[in-house]
Amino acid sequence: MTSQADFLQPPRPAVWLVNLFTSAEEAESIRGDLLEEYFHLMSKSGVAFARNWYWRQTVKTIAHLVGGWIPCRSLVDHCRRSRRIFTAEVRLRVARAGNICSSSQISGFRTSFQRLCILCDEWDCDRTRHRVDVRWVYRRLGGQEKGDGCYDDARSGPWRIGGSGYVGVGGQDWRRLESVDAALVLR
Amino acid sequence: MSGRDYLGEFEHIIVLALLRLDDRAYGVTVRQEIEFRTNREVSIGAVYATLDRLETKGFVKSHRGDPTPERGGRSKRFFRVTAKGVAAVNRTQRALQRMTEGLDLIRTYS
Repeated sequence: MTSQADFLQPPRPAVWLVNLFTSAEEAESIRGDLLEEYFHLMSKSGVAFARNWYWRQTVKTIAHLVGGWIPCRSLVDHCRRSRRIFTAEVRLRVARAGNICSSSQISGFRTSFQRLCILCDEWDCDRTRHRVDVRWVYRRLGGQEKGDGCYDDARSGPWRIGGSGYVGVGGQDWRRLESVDAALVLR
Repeated sequence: MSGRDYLGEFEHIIVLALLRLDDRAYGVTVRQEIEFRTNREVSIGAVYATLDRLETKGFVKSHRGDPTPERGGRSKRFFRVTAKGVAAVNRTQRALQRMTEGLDLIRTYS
């Protein structure tokens, strides 16, 4: 059953679709913008209106993103990528269901994909929950964006994702990972 | 002068929105400004696709702001028009003006 708190959030399938088709760089801005306007519309015009608006924006946004993306690659390549995304999503759900976020559990993603965006739920000191891109946390704490061995693509070193469910850089700022989600970055 | 020095219709609208919004220009405000002034629904994807293209051409520059809780801890991406972008808008405006000069659009085509 959908709880009240879930109902107030943007529709999950729409969020999932946006994640699927946006790169990490785009996702940060696009999802942030969509969320900001969603909550604004919800307080102004109600949940139903805001959810409808979110769906409309999702469909149009994906149409634009896919429109610019597909012609760059062959159809076969596109289908192959789609299949890999689907497989990764299923594997991730399995890891998530077991509340496991150790790098060994998701190493398959690291070797199979060019880049992986890891999102986690982080509880702030005032008990508000934030969705945080782990890589963004790395960047913020002084990690470099790519090739620094913290995260990212198959060519770099292992991700520094603690098996106990903590994430951080060099022990500077360890954060509890409440759950892990992921979106692939297609480049 | 190459064709690339001119802005497309939506590019033109986006750059004008950025100029209007000045330092408040990011995805949400740009989208709302266009909707408010042109009365047409615009998707955030269309806005970003165009802004990325304009950035590649050197007409706009972007930088990240601080993350905010209402955005789920995500930062805003602010945009501003470069000198090259302003020149492109002026060129496009002048070209449109020259093309419409002497045409009595309302009487002839309405």
